[in-house]
Amino acid sequence: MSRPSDVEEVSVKTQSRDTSRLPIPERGGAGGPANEHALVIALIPAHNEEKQIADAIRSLHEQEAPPNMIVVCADNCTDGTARVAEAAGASVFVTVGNEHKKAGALNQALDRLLPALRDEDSILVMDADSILVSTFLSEAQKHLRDGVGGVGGVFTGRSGGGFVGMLQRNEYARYARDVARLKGKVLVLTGTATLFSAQTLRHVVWARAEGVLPGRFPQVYDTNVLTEDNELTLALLHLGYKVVSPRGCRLTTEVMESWRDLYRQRLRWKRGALENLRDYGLTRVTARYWGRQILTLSGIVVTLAYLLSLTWSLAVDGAVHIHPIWLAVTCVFVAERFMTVRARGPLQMAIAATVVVEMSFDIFLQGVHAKAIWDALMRNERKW
Amino acid sequence: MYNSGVLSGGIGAGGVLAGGGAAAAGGDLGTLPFSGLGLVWFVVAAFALVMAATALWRIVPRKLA
Repeated sequence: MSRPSDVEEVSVKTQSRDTSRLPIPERGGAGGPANEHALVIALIPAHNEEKQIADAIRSLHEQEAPPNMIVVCADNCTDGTARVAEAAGASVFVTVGNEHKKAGALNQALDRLLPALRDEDSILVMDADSILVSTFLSEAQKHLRDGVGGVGGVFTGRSGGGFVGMLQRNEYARYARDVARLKGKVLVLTGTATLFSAQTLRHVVWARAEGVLPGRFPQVYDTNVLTEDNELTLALLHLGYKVVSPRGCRLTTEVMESWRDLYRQRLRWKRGALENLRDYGLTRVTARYWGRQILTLSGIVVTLAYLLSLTWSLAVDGAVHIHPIWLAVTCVFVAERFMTVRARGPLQMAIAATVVVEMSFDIFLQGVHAKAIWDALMRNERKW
Repeated sequence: MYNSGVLSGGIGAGGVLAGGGAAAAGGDLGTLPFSGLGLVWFVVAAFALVMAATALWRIVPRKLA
């Protein structure tokens, strides 16, 4: 879809009360990006992140091409997030009456930033628990051209969380490997860290205002969804942009430290993804996403069928007969499991090779996915 | 804290489990009328083979970006 020439002139009605703008730094200052006339603004939404926010900000200061400005959106914080962020050298923007969590906080800040930015300026949106490698911004800027609407990060998991943390780190390592093998092609621009051009984000606002994209309000993020980053990715793709996650844009993020937290996180992700697809319907863009959903659902059904048939066999025959051909197939999976986690070292490769250790995680994720489908179909109340 | 909505469109490694599981799947929960093959076994086995193909695709060496 084409972008109108008068996007900047679109009147933007916001859900927030305060209409003041955030102070934009002068152009061409020291420490800015390669194009000295373009600004890079880092935006970090934060809700009670006093323990992690300083590390996230430090990783921005340590960039080869640091941002011109770091803005922490302190959203309904009851701890010292704002104080710590300010001490670390960030500007703090306190949200006003935000009831839409991360998406609402980002919208409030973007409503104030975008009118002051030029098309060539860019905005890095990153989580407060993300720590970027020093090349992140310079690499992302290199790729933010030629129809690319957003450049996302490739994340790995930080330490912690014991067994469940280990499983997530393995999962993330496999994801990073897949992205590298696909030469940066991704399905989702991760909320952990993504660089957008100001022009692109204004295009999204215009498209929502015109009803070209879903979303009740003409804002960057749709506040009615559970997975705002996934939705924004679909928005960009429907507007004709490309999305990439180059290898140089690496970062680390926290992992969920308990099964309960992981369950909540994944339920939100999976249900959010499903609902995003429902909002967009079946389009040329969403066809492959729907395909993956169908494949995942098939996996759940087949796993259930397998477990039932196994139980049936044991109950009726008292034994399970293993055939050489299926043993060979199993060997393929063993090889896949341990080779794809090579980046995590020999110990994790050995654990992965047993297959059964990671089975708990696989069955758990399938169970969560089934619950997400059920909740989405029944339109159950969202809790997150 | 906010959680990031990543990996939300992924297939999930569960497909691999389901595929690997077919190695031992047996029983006679429903039989295909034309072949005598167990319907459940047939579905699980077919899925296992598809997943095995994708597993092979994932371990074939590739030039990285």
